[in-house]
Amino acid sequence: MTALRRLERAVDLDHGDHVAWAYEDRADLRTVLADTFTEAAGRGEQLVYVGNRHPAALCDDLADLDGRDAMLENGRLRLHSIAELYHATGRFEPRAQVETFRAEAQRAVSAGYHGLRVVGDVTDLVTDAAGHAAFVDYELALEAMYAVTPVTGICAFDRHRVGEQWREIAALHRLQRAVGQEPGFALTYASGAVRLFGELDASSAAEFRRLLDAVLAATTGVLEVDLDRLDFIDVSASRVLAEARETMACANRDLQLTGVRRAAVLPLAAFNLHGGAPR
Amino acid sequence: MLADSSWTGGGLVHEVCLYESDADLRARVVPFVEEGLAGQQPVFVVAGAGVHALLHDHFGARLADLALLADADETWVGAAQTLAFYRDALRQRLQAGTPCRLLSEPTWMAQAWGAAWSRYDAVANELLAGQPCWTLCLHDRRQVPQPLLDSALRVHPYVWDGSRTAPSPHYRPTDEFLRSVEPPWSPPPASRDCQVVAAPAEARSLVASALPAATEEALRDDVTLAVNELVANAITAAGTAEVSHWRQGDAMVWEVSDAGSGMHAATAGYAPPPADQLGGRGLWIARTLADEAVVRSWGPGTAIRLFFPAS
Repeated sequence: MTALRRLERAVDLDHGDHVAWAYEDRADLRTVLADTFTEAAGRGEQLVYVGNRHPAALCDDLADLDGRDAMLENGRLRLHSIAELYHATGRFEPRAQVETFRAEAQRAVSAGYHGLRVVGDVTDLVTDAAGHAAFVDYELALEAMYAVTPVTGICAFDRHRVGEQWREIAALHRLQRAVGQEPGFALTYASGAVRLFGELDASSAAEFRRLLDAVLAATTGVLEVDLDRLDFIDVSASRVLAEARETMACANRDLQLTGVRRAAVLPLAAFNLHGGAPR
Repeated sequence: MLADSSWTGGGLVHEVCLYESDADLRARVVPFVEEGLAGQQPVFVVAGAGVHALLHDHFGARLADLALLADADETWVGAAQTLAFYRDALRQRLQAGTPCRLLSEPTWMAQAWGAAWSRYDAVANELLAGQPCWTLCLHDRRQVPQPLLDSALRVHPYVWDGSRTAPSPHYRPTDEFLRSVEPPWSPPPASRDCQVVAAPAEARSLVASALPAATEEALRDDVTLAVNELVANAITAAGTAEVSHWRQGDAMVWEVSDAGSGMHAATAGYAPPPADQLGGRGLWIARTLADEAVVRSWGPGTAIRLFFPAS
């Protein structure tokens, strides 16, 4: 599993890569689309762009993509509205949506494509406060699916509309882009284990707490937290783990730490948290 | 004067006994433990082999009645964490109001790395203030360097004079003692590197770029975490922190200052807060990691200096 990475451009992406991209304006989004779809087309992948606007407007976003019209014509490039793809049943269903993308990727491979590259402008999903928990659940499931499916995805957000929530959503991705505002860490969940990447400190403890709470709410039984890919953790973030342990203990659940590096031992031990060393 | 049999838990008694023979040791240790067991007071013992042998010889099977019998060398986990160990070992009984006795022989003071214990022993006066605890600290005059024996006399309010426990004429209040043994607060050199940061990550980047490439990974980790914690506290207090660093003799000094409301307790950060209190660990971690840490507050504003070995 790759480490946390900050991107300058939406290129050099491979299957399994899951990117959070906070775009500054429409021109920034157009550059992202042109960069990543040009790379994907060159690799023989199928391209999907999802956005919450009229198809003609989505098409305009792809104005900088060479061969756009031909790819739309021959089916290599497909456009979907948010409503069409995410709200087909009238409400956003995270697990069903992840299955949709998994099936899309398999269909693309069956049709002879090298894989699937998806860019979704999910600004409206992120800003929908009522659907926030579902969206976090969706991103966690998406990350797990990406790890075993020939798909590459970019979740794009309008940084100015999303505001501070951006950092929390971005932290669900191991590849991040938001000039000077990246959360600095990533959290993934699969097979009963949370994996942490990057650096956790007082600046990111609040986002870390909310995401960990979301995982706790969505799971049962023992939760493993793997710190092997975490480059730094301070007292603030260790406190979040201590609080999670307390919450779980009240529900007769156990939190187990693994991959604890030497530098993490003291801040964790300050809360009587201990765990296995890196493998 | 205090007599063992008269003590029923009326506040902290922090006593030092400097011994130089097995007979001296026996004369103080046996009655101390005997009185505790007779009074049904939990007795905690952390001591060296000589004390263990003496206790086995005198108490035999009755040693099972001790609340704790531990080897000092095995207990030592660095000054800060050893003080926390003592605090945690006693905590439950003290919170219940049960008078306790602690027999402590910090054998590590005979080693170079144990010298810092004097300060933590001094801080124990604050940590256990008002608690129903009699702590008897033993030092072997034949093993512990004279300067540390002198310090031991200055940090204990009571001393065993060979026949009784009496107020120590050498005792100094904790903050006065700490100031006297901490590195002097000299003006920073004009040539120091100095930067204002608004996020802990900025401070970590500063540390990463300032340390020589050949710095051992363990030292790099320690400096990074210690400075990070001080900066996080400073930002919480004042919004920004000023981070400076310079070379001073064989030491690498890192100073974190802020314009917050100040931190005036000389004992701040020597002991971690209790396990069930979630805040207040940053300075404790910095002190634990650094060779030396000095805090100065004035009006609004605090500066903390950490001393690490120059790599």
